[in-house]
Amino acid sequence: MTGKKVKTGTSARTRRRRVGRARKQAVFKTKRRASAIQGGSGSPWIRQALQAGWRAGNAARDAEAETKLLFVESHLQSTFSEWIYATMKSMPEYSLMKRMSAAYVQGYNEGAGSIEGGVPLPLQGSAAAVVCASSEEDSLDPMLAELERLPLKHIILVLNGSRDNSYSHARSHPLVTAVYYPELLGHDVGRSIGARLTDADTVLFCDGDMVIAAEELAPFIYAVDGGGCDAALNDLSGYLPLFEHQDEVTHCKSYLNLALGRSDLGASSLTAVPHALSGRMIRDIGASQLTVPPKAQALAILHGYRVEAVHAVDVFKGNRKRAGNTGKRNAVAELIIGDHAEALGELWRQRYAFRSDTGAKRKEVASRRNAV
Amino acid sequence: MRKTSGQQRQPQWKRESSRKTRFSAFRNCEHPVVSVIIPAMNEQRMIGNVIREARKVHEACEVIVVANGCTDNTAEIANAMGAKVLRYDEPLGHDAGRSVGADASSGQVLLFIDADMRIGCSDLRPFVHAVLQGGDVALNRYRGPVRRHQVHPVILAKHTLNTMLGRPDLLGSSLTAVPHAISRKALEVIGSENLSVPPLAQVIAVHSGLNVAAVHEVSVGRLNRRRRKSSGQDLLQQVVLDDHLQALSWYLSHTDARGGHTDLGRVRDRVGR
Repeated sequence: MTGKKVKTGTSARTRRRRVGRARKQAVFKTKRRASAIQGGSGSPWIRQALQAGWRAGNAARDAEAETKLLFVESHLQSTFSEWIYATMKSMPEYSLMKRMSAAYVQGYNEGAGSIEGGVPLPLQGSAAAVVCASSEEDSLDPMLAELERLPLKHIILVLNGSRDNSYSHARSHPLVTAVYYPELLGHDVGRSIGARLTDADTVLFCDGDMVIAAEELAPFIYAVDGGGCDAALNDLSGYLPLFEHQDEVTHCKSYLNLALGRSDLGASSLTAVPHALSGRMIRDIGASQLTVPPKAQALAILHGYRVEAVHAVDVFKGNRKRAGNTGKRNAVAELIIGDHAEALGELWRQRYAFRSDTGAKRKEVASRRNAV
Repeated sequence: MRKTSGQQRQPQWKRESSRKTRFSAFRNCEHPVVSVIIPAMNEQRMIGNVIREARKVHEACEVIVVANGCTDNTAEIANAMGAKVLRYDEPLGHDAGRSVGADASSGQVLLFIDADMRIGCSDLRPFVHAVLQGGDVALNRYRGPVRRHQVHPVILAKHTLNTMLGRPDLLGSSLTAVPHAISRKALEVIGSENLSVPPLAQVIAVHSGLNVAAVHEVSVGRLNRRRRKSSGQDLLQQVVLDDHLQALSWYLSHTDARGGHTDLGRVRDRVGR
């Protein structure tokens, strides 16, 4: 209501100026998309990637390379990977890697006259994705399409309690292995089931109800595959309000990290998607633990695995609002609070249960604080 | 009514206090309604002021000072001011004085305050009043500085513990903070030894169905004595955080692994081991 009032109050000149600005921004965006090297890239690597891409694309046109079904086996992905390993001494930050990848694809397309739209990444091991969904036919198709732009070995789709055409949508994607459960399995159970079905070195976890661009998913895989990370979490700290306006679930997430001695993680949590885990960690702590994500997070840190918040994807905006997950004290919030209770109980068992020197510590505190 | 000219009439509480300051002939009541418990270690600068406010919370009241590990005149001052003094040569430990003081008390209401900050009696009475009105545990509603993105770890721990207990309405209110008052019934249910671990006491109180409420706000953060960072602050923080975790584990062992929170119908046996 108030928004409308404000709009009618603005002068014609302001409105014209606003429209002009919007148009300019739109043009700027399309320009950037048209060429990855424009807009003051600053790094010589971008131009080099473009040129290398062009050379690879040109060679592909001459050789009439047969089109591969899977992006991970494609000429684009393999030549990019080879080129990176041949030219770069160490792996760059994802922000640079993202632009190099885009420049390479652009160069490749110009050289080969193709319209490849993938996001090639230099991967040392194999990568896979696990997607959990129930009745999400609207978002599932575009979500899977985004995943297919990544160099994944396969996508495990765990469908449970689906009441629409999600399954037939999934069948049209060659990369997807669908697991179908007629009944609802409950939250996050699909993650365990999916994780058991893949032997990839890096596993990306997503939900079927939210479409996230491949470029925003790639950093999680990149951090685990090349960055030596075992759990690459979504960094939500930038989207949080002040503490007094945060909900209880956020408090629980922050507290778990604090209790684990990792307050630097803020409120980042395995509960949130997207995130990527290393295969060796999943096998060590057990895929079944992924059903209770905070507990898996506690186990990962307690076992000494490297857990980092690597990239920020705004999942608050895209999250589908349902009857169960809106409002204070909703059922999903209760579930997550219970998950954190389990995690903290596990932490207590592993770290504190056999320690009984609190009395001595109390005395030491008192003497240190109040001695004259 | 006596009224000397040129002198403004003082409010009731101020008149009373000035009289009492002059004649320091306060003595603990024999059958007190309220017991004020003040653990103290080397607090000779403040203890006088603290006792003076404490004795004003109720007509029938006793003040108990648990002087532990004192190397100054804390105990002597408290004694001279008519308080019951429990002396211990060794420091009892952080918050351990509360248990000792509670054991020695006989009032129907137990009010706990610290010896290092002077809280006016008008800020103490609401806690006593709430318990006299039928409450069991009356907490300070103070949350600490929460208008920021990252808060102090202890504040976070307090909020989370209350959430886990199914009492998010208590926000950051905690037995860790003074002032707070409990009823004698609450003391019996909680057990005086558990008062040394305030979060544990809080968990037991909530779990036992006692009437726990945040009744009044006293911004103790501002009143707290400034201490050097080196003087065991980090150690204290660790003790308080460990207390919260210990309290939570007690709660989980008395409910279930999820603290009674829903699993929303997870079919866990589908996963297998």
